[in-house]
Amino acid sequence: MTTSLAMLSVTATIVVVIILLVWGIGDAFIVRQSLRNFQRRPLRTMVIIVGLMLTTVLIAAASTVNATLVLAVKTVAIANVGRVDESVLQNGEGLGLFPVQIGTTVMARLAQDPLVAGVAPSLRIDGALVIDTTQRQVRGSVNILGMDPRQAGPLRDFSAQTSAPSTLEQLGAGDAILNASVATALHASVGDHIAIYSSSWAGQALQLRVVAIGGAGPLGQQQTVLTPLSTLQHIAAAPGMINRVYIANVGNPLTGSGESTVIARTIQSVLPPGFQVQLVKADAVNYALSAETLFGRILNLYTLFALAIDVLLIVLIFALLAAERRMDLGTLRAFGFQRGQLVEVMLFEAALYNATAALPGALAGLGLGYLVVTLINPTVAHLGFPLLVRVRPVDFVVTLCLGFLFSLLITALTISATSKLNIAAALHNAPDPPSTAPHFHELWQTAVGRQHEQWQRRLASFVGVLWGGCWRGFIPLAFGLSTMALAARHDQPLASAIGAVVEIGGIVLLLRWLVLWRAARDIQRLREDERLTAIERKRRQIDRVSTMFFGAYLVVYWGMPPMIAHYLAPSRFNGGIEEFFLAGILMVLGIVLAGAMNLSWLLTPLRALGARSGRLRHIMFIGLIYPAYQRLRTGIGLALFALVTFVMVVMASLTNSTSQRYNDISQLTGGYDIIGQSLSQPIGGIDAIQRKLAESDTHTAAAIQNISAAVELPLAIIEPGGNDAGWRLYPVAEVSGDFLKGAGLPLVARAQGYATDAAVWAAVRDHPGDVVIDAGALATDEAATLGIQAPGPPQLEHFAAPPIAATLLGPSSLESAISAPQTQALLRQTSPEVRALLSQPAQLLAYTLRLSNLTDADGKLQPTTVWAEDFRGNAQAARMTIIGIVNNTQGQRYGMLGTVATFAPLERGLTGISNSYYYFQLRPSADVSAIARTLSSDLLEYGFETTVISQALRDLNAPELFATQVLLRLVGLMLFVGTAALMISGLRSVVERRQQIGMLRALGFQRWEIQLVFFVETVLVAFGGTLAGLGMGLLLCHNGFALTFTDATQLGIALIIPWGTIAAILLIAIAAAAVAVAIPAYQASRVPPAAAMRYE
Amino acid sequence: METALARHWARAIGLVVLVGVLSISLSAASLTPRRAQVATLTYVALGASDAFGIGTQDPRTQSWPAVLAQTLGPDYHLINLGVPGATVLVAAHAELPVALAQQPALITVWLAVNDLEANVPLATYIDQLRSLLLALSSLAGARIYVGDLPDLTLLPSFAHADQVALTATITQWNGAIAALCQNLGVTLVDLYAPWSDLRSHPTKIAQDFSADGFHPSAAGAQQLAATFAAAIATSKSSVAP
Repeated sequence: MTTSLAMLSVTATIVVVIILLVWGIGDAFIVRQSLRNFQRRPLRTMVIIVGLMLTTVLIAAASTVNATLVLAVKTVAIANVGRVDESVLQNGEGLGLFPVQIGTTVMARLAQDPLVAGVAPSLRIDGALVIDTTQRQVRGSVNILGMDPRQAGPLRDFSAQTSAPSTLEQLGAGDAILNASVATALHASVGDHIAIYSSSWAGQALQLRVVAIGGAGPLGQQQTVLTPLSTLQHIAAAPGMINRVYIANVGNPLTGSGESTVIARTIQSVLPPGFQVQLVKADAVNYALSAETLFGRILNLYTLFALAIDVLLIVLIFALLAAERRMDLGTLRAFGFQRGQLVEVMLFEAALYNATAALPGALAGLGLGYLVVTLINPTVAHLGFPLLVRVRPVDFVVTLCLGFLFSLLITALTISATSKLNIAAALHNAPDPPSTAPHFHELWQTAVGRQHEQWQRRLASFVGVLWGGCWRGFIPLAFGLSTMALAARHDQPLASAIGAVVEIGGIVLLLRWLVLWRAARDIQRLREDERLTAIERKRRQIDRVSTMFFGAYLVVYWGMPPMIAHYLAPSRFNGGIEEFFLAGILMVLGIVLAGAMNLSWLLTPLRALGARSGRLRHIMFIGLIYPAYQRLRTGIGLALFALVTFVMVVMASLTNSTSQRYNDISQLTGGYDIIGQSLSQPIGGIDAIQRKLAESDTHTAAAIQNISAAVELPLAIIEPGGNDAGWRLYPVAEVSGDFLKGAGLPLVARAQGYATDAAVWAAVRDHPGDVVIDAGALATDEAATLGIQAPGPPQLEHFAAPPIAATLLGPSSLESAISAPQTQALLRQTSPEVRALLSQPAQLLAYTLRLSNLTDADGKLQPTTVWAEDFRGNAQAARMTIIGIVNNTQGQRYGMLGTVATFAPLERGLTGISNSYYYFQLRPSADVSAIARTLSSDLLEYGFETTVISQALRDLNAPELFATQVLLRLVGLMLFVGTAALMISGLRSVVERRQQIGMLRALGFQRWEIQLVFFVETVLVAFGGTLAGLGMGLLLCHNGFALTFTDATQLGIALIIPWGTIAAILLIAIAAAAVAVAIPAYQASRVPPAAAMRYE
Repeated sequence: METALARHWARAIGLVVLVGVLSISLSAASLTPRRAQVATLTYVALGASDAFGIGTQDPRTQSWPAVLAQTLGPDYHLINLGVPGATVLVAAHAELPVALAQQPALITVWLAVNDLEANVPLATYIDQLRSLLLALSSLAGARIYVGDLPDLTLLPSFAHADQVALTATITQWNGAIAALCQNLGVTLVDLYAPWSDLRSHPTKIAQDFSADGFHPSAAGAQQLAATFAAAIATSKSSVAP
């Protein structure tokens, strides 16, 4: 795909260059004139080239960062699965044992295969409990692996960190090698004794001695203990049996999986029916890449916004260049040059600028991308994240060619639009008179009516008809209506939204034309010499009103809150990143359109203020009159400021929200430091733990501030009064201890009748049936009514473990939780339909609880009745009352929460689906890791596994933490490039007005007065633009974020606006513009008036 | 002059705003679902996976009770108590308490297929159904409609069963259900006859059932809802003066 894109872009670039060369060879004047302009003012040329470079800089930097991010995510995925590329296993439940002969057959078939580096028939027991009796530490969900090492190749490579024996052949019957993950978790050392418990050898313990601590090992980061195959077969009572054949491909771990499909086909040919070949590594990489959806979306948005800024900057540069050259162009036209020839001259010159800018731009972009990635390195070093900058030559070529072509295209369009001029007006540098275009029906006659017309005139007239149809609103109206109709039929929300915008634009244009037509009839009654002025005045007035209306419509339509949009514009946002981008661009366009066209009105208060500014009155007058007079240039300047600010606000908010989601550890942990669970026998609740610690370890007991406990329950819930009154699934947890005082469970809403949070918790504690539920259960409208920020709906892991603990279940832990015997037992107890539902996590969303009608007419939360039932049992459904909403902004606390007394009647006689989790909040001075180890040791008889929550979250979210760091740097890069764009815009606006400066100096203006005039202008445009961009950015984030990021990614991302960062961005933007204007204005004002007047 | 200009402006702005608002409303109306009116009557559906909506693409709107509620109109608020895999025994503890706590004007009960599949003896089934219906009958003002067994021999998932024996069992069960309904004064909804019509339209079977060959698809759910709706309409007209 990328190669074909490269071929296409290179071919297109060569074709364009050849056309330009042929063009130049055919008309030497074009080349001479273009080269003369190119060389005439080196400073101006440099500024233009730097401006054009920014186009490729942003694209190249984003491309480099994206490629690096993808590579890093792939590397992490591979590190997680280890050296195994393919795995052969038998379909079915249980251990899936099969005779070792199957492994021998596969080994024989692959022995001479040049694509295969190693084959290892293995026995793997998942979900074992390992107790290091020397260190008195416990770890659950550990894989125990025995491998036949004869032909294992790289699979046998354990990268031993400690002394020999480090190879499988050397292992004795009672020896074990621990991989780094399990060794770290157990704080194990060589020589330790470990006991392994598993349901595969119930009632026995496999006693082993640790002889080596390895690196990642064949199963990567998964917690693994390696032991001789025969030892494992013996304890599992499976002599001569295995349950996996692992295959490692040739090449390095990154490239090896490329041949997986071919190898799988080869293996499948020798396997009996009932066996399958899993593409372990390829599947893991694909899963990891798909999980990066959120960051992919943000990077796409970044690139789209960067392109939008680029387009505007190029338009601004060449619009100002055309304005600067207006007299030159007028002179050429006076000498008989056609408009097309003027376009050719300017286009050739623009091609020279673009060609000069493309290569340095692409190189600078790569350099900046490299810088971004390098700067992250120290920040993410603690995550152990592999960081390799990836620059592919093919990407570089694509960036280079596309940057050149894109810039040239925008340049051509801008030049074509700005080259239309009135010769006399251009020669006098006066405004163009009103257009005297042929009448609509004359064009129509020429296009289709007359028989002997030249085809060029016919074509030109036809284009004129289309243009006229657009300006009169007929074509946009018809296009908008038909697009909406088609979009509604094919359920295309984005097309429907575009249709609605074009339709309203058409109506506005149609009305504008009708009013103008009516006014023209009135004006016919005036004297002939008054008519032209009168119609122009009328046109301006109508333009102001129509642009104000259309601009306001764009802002209101895309910026209206979801609650209103739900009824007025239901198809506005559908979660697509394109809609978010389109919304942003149209909102900025709307406010700039309305503001720029009505600037003379908007500036009235400032003018009144200026008139009272004493000695500075003339400066204020000049400073305020120019922006209102040059509406197009002011409009483009305003748009650039607004867009840069808007993009910065949006990107900073997105980055901050994702960063907070993963970096705000204290929020994610709910203030708790350690989570523990007893893996061998029930511990007996919080009281039992406290008693045990009080007896044996008063130091640890004193370090603990709060203890809570929770256990997950498999209940269905129905809200009879809700809009969706049916049995629905939702996480439910029985909580005890300090949870019932609100520790770690802050409320965001209380039902009427409960004055304080404490009153809510007292009712939950003392009144069985009273419960609280997290904000994720609320329907969108309900959350908005209560002013609550809700996360996306719960994911599968939130049904497997209670609040906070569920966030520690990564995909591999979740997989083992699902395959755990108790989970499988639960599934067997449910009906086939429910089992089918649970086996398809994607279906969960369709059956997830969405509470509605919780509020009264005043928008206050009312105690709300729901019913709960465990369909495994025979207990009657129980009525419950929701009296509070728990804050769950970052998706860490899903669940309906109540006491043991509330849920006990439903669970009587039923087995639990999850362990009881215990949560420990330590006093600030306590050493968290040390206390975690001590707790595990003190409660060893219960197989008490402890986890330091913050460390586990950091390990689990390493790719996300890395990606947020990338985004932070990208926002910084965008600020840098955006500021450069604003500075270039400021520089150009002064340079093109040196003649005006000379005029003012000739009229007696002092240098400082001229500098002040420019300062007033710049601050006006900068302030207006940044204010508009800030407003639109905040509005869009507030109203579009949830649908585009929270709901679409289902990651529990909530919008958190970084006010401090935004304030800094605004100051930098305005300051950069002021500095950019101050320097050239200072220089320009020092030029003698006569020299400035002669400037060309 | 100033006053005339201001008046002219006011007219122009007013016209533009009016047309704009009308246009937005029209464009929005073409895509906007109507806001639900406030329901005054409660309809409770007791049932199994078919009521829950398994087999349809969107259970919230395509399950047969949801379609029936839409047919009944906005006056009715649906409480869909369907539980996947539910037998009458499951419904008695999971669905009945919720139903009794509401004040339903209309109740539909369709709980037979899972009992038959689970080999619940007919006598036990009828006893359990009687208890359930008696409890529901205690609700003042509630009209109760009970569905019987459809012609299961048409279902792809029953294709390998002994068709003659199955038909005989269905006939026996339906006879018992009909007698119970008559005895308790609740309305029987005959699902057997409408389904038997499918025998002459084999292509409809593929349309009306989901890929598992057991649960009704969205089209099948509409068919079921229509059968219940017809029974409701008939019983209403029969009690009308």
